[in-house]
Amino acid sequence: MYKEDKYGAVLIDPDKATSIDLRKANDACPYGALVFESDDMRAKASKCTMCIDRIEQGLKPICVMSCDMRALEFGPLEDLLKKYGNLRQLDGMPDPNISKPAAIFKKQLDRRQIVPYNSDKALDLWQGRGPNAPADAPQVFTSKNDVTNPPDGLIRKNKLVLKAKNVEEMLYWTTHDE
Amino acid sequence: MLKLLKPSPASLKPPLSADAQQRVNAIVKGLIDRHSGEEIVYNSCRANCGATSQCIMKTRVKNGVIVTIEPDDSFHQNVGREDEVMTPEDFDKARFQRRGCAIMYNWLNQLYSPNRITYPMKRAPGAKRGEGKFVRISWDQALNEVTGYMKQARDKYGPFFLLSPYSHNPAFARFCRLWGAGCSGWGACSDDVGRIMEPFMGLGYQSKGPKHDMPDCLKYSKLNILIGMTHATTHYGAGYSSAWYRRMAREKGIPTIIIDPKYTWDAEVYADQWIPIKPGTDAALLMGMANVILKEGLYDKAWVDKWMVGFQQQSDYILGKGGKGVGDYDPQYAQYDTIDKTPEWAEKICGVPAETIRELARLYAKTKPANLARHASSTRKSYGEYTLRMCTFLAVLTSNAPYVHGGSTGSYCGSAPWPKIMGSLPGVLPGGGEIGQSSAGGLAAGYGAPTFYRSYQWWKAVAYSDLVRAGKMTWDRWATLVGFNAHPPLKSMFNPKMLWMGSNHNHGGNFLVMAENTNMQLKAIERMELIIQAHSKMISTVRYADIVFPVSDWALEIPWFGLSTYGGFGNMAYLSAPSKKIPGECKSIAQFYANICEKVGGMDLAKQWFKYYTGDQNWDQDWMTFLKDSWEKVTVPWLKSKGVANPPSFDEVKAAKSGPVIMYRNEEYGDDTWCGQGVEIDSKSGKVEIYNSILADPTTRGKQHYDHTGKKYGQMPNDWKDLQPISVYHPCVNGMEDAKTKQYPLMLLSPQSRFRIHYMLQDVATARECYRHGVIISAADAKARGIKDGDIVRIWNDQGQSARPAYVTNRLMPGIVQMRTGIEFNFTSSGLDTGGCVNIFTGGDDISPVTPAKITNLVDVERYLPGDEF
Repeated sequence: MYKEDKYGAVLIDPDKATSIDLRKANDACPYGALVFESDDMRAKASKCTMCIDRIEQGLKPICVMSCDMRALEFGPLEDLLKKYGNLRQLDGMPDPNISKPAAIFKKQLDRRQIVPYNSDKALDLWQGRGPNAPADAPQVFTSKNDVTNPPDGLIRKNKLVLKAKNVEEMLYWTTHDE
Repeated sequence: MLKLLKPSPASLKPPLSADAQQRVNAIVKGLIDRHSGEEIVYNSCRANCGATSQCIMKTRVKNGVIVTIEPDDSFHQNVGREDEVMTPEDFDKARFQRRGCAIMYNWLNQLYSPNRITYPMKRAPGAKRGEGKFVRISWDQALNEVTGYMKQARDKYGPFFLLSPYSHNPAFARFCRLWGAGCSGWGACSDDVGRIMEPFMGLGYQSKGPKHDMPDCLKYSKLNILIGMTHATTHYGAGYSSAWYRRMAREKGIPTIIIDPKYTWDAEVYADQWIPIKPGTDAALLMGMANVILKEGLYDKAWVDKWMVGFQQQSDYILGKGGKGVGDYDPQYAQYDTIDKTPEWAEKICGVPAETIRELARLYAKTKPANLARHASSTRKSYGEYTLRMCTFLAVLTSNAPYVHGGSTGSYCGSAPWPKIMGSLPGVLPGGGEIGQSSAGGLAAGYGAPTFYRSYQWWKAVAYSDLVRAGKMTWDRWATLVGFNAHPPLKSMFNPKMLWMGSNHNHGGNFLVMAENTNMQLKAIERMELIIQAHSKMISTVRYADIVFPVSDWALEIPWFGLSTYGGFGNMAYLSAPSKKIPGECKSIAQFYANICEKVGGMDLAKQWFKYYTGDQNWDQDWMTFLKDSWEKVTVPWLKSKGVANPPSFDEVKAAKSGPVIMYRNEEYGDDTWCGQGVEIDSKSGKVEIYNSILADPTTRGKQHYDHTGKKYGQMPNDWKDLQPISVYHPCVNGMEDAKTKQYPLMLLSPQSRFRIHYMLQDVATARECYRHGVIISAADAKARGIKDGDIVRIWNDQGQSARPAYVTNRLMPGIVQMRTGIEFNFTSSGLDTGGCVNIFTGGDDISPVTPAKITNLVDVERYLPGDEF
């Protein structure tokens, strides 16, 4: 694996993609940038190439050109820092002062409450079945606390996990039903 | 804790050694060389993600095989953040890249799926339907066996032995008319509520009246209220551009409110405020809002007088002043109730606090223009017709419709006129619809076989015809139950023996998965003597066929071009220049139809079906002749009439070396000039008919299928049941207030997925790796049942049962579960489905007359300890 000089792309040597050394690199990488075809220690590894073949031809990476929300940008880090500020870490990411990622994030817009909304009252309303339900129909839920404070362990996908122990876990953390 | 290597800032990194640099150069060269010999061919995504939404594919083709699909670059080449370079005019004219979604990029793997059908097949000797065991046969044998049966069966059983299931299939209907046998059903479900009710209100088909396209939301709107409209989460290719526009609107400071039982990505990304609502109760919320607007006089009386019929009747109902309704089906509606539909009344039904409803109403009434966008999801529930009509009532009441860019409609992303150009050469193809495509069928009705049932009720038509023959039911009662009053002398000739599943794409091709009540459909299937299917993939429904015909992928293997409104952004001509390598013995779906025609009726019939047909061996050439004629004689004049000075020649289109031809929005509609031009309301009164006289008058109600001009409503159930001339609140059948909650306390919703469309791509591994298809359940409901995220759960109701992993979330409100639609089913011997087919559970509401196949029902869920099936 090489970090090339021109753009800083980190490239796997395709001839050595099954090297055990890549497992060591994976152990060291806090971002989980390497992915392996299976849990076999000699399974083939791959990672983002920064679309270096496109960059060499003056084109932006394909992820930037594909994003539906036009949310991605690519360019020299110093330019992007000037433009977007210096937010270098999201919840669940390593300390950027140590890892110094070549990535900047833009904050979501601040929310505005447009009309008043009393969520406590709303939960009371949700608990009832409604005026057209039979009197003996069950309540929608038994305790408001179950809605607002679910016990630990029920919801598992509630954090960003960049790096999984194995392929199964990686698929768990990267698939979703949202 | 993760152990970190000592960081080495880029500036301190020593340069690579000469050897290493040489190796890096070789790696980069290798990446570049991978694309050598590729040619760029533009194409369009044909996923049915809202019927009019075609994103542009830039495909790389090598040796005739598509190797990569890349995003569109018709505008702003090499610009990622398009919003940074676009002017307001660019946004208004929709000059932006038609970037696709995950579905478009995954379409490549649709072609090379291991489930691809590549030669004709016949059910293996001794194998049961559904086992999916087939033996290979030749095209000749397959055609001969099928047409041999058809000819005999027509003599033996009469013309109506042959039928197509959900959904309406214009190519089949056309064949039936020409051959003189076969029957079909009406309706495609999705937005049938709009398609039925909007003409009654004078808004025409597909929201002719009040429009609000995506650029309008950005340019004109001062407030966007979205009911169940989740562009970023479900069911739209173009919708993802809609989500982007919505986000841009929010960045511009336009308040955006999403009303939805789930906190979706949309709520996260482009809403200022999320208001959760109990599903199936939207009409109550809207009535609560209307009550405030009426009582506080927040409307322009002159405007209402000018544009609305039925203000008095609808207002009386909302203010609890009673009024005369229609009670011949359900006597409680003979005289309307005297309940004042205040926000306090509504809050107990819909779960939105009265104070919120009141302020929302005031805000909506005072903000002009304001966009009230309802998605078909809100009207695909029991009595969805009243939700739709209430949206229209509010929009006219607040002077947002019909003139200003604040229309209430927008069943899809926008509501642009839908050009019916492609395939409209006389005598060529079924008008309006694409060949083999299940379309809404409105235009195809004139070409078609007689209609006998509503398409999703096909299984009832089959099952109940046995009851009629056994003397247990009359044909009139049968017609009432199956959703259409067929021509009386024909009814008794309905004798279903052969099922024709001849649609390769959209929802229709996998109807056992995509239409309501899978298990009852499976029972009707067993009644058939012969079942055929023409399809490209071995999917759940195809496993039940007796003879299978292999057909090309309609998106990438059939040359095609057409027009799209791109989800309400503006018209464009799109191109489809496909892979040149068609696998095995696949033929295009049109060729299959022509082959059948030739076998049953000779060249004459085949030529009537497709006038360019000169024989099977000439297919490719004949098809090109047709496309050329279509382009030159129909499309080019149309493009010129819309201001496109130099449309490309057919050869240029065929070569597809550039992106789409874009016609901007102001060519036809949507620009500010529209406001001044006014709208012609297509009703007897020339106004929006909130109170509809056809529905109210006992001499016309349910007795005719014609509008005020005498034009036939091809799509209307014959039994209008308790459908009222105004909107009333009717509790959702099988909803959160239903008595059945005592047995099944959870309301099941079945939204679309972001990673497949209907069932398309359900077997594509690269798409499936993105999601875990399962039962989405709230933390409160999971806790009550001892369920943790990832547990296998059983979900069931009186229609069937399924077992899948649970996805536990606090983004979904309690009392509700979700299973995304369009996957597959796999039944164990005990009848437990392990595929997760949500339509096993949906339906069950036969009372609300207009709403098509319901996408909800009541269920329960429990933790399930899997046996061998997992």
